[in-house]
Amino acid sequence: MFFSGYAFAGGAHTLSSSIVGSGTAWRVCASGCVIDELYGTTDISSARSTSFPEGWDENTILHARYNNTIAAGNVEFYSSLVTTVRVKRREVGSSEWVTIHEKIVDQNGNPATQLSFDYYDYLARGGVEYEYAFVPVLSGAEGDYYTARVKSEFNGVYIVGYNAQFHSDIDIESSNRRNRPVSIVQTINRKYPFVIHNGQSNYESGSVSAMFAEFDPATCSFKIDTAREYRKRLNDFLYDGRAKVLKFWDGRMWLVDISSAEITEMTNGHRQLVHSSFDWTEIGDADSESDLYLAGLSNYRGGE
Amino acid sequence: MATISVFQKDAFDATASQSFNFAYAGAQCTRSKLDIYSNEENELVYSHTQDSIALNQEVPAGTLTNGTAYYYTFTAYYPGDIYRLIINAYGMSGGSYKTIISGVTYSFTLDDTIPYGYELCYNASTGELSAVHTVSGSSSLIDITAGSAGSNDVSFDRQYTVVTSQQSPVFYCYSDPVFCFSNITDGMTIGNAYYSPEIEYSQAEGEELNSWQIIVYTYSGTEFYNSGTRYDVDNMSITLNGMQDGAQYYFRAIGETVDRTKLDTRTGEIDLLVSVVYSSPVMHGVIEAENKQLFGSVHVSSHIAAIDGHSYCGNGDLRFVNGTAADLRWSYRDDYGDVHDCVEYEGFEVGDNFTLSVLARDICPNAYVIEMGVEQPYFDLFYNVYWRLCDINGSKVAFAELQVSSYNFMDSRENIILVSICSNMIDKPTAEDTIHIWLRRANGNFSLIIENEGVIS
Repeated sequence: MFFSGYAFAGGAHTLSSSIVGSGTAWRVCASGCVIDELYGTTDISSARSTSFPEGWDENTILHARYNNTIAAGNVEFYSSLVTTVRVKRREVGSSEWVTIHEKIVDQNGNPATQLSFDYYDYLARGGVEYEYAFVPVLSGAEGDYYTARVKSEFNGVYIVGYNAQFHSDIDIESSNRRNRPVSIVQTINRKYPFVIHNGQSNYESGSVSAMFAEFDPATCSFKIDTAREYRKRLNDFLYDGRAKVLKFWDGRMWLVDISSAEITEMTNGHRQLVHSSFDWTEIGDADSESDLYLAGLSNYRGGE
Repeated sequence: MATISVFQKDAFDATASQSFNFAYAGAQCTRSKLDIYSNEENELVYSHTQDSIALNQEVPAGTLTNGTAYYYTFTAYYPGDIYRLIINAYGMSGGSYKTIISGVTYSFTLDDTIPYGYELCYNASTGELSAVHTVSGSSSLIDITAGSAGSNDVSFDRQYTVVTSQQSPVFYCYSDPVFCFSNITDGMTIGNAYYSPEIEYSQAEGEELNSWQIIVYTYSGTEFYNSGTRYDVDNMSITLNGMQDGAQYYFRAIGETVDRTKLDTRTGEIDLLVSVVYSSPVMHGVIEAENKQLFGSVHVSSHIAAIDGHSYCGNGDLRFVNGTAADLRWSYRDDYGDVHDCVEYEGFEVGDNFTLSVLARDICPNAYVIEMGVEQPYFDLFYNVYWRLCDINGSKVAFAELQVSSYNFMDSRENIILVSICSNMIDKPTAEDTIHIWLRRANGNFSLIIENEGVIS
């Protein structure tokens, strides 16, 4: 075309790039040889070497070793076969895995990244060393377990719900007791009574009193000035009618419902020192997949 | 009546001296005797008496033998007021004695088998006994203290009450075990936020390790990590994470053998000091778990790169060579430009900079060993690495050629070659030689190097 007397973009490739730009790689192809290894990385600082790293780092693009497979990722399975991934945990030393999260794989997603995930386990006991496992489910069967260990540690008390949790580390007082209803029947012709255990009820209940204020991790301090709003949210949370997990730093943990008819707030010598108190009753096993699922605290039904 | 007791003794290395202790209840003893017996033969192997109020005795290095079990007893001596005087008088055969009581002065006569002219004196302030020459007519008194008395020998032996302890529990002597970090040395640098320190343990006589513990301190001495006591001695490694770039950490391991030998990597008051400098990228495990103390939760994340790859073969299934290589030699591009007998990967991102490495054998002439497609607005880029053979002065040589071409899909009639560079030349390799093709794009500049690595078994 002519523009201001010049033949603007007159050549077939005038608008083609004259320098090699960069962009998203969408394909790498190898052919025409007997290939032993293919390794790609975004690292441009290391010297040329045929000793490729065994591990997988943040720069690694792909690494194929062709050991009877052409896979070039960091796992031994084919992502196209994975229908679901599960996150499991168990206490170190225990042989019983508990599934805490399940994710259905989007088969239309990016195959290189669709199996990656971030998950926060709010139901880990305090002071317990756990082993977590990533488990791909391939065609209905669980594949290899990829595991990592960590010790769960925190301070104070947490009340964990299905979409929120509240925490206190100030002036915590708690009590709990084991309940098993009994009837004592005294008979006419017998010196001693009978103790009757009707039913299988066997649960714990208790109460918690603490000062609740939102913790600011940026300053590692409690937001005392906004404690009133925080307590209001806490009260709404406690009375939302849903099951919760109550856990203490020392490993005590129960699946509970709030069973007190009132939540009391009492100042304790200072207008900002307000203690909230409530009662709770255990309604299930906090380590049971099915109990947590029924309580709406896990998306894994259990038993599969 | 006084009693003494002995203690359970931890295993120790007999090539070093070792202190044995006892305790008493009651009067203070002034002399102790240590007897050590071999447990198997029940024979006395060491006995030593010490005139001291000390509640321990030092057994010299090399007295006992590593790999052997022993037990020991202590005998305590409580001094009484009874002394025994022994005099080897001149001209008398053998010694004679007389029992005396401290604080009392005795006069001896020949009938008392003490040489004529001598008198025994007791000095209450020093507690010493002496025999004094009192022969009339002599110029002065002559002190003849214990050990020398002119032509006579005089000695005093105090009488003791003796109490012996029970047998101690059996203890063992073992050579010092090797207990250290197998992958940490003092002053080393860790190039990562993650590290897995590992403990190494061995003992010449085969004593087993019972427990171990790894503790990591920050440079200021606060505890950064503590594994707690662990009893799995088959896997003595932990995974640390969260170490900060530019920080320094002290590493310490402690342990205990089954026979209670205490082990510690700490030398004096000093632990192994390690610096962390992120010189290499953070290694990703397939799954990582991190405690979030401030949030009461555990963060579980995965870094899974499941790059399945596809193979396209024009002659049946892809064939693997010895289970360690893929045979892609039957390659051609058909009329539609599609490639057969190739492996293809997709679904990942590459920025401005990358390095691609290929180890390959028996590369077909003019084959493009690598093709990489890069999406860009309005056009795609293709990186093609071709394998070339040629004759130079009668010698057959090989090199690789990189062609970077642009495919403008607004005008799809042809590709434009933007860059064409050649690698170094090498002698034509044999079919068994492994060739390393190394392609790097760094800040817009390309490097292409080939190297014959020879036959790799």
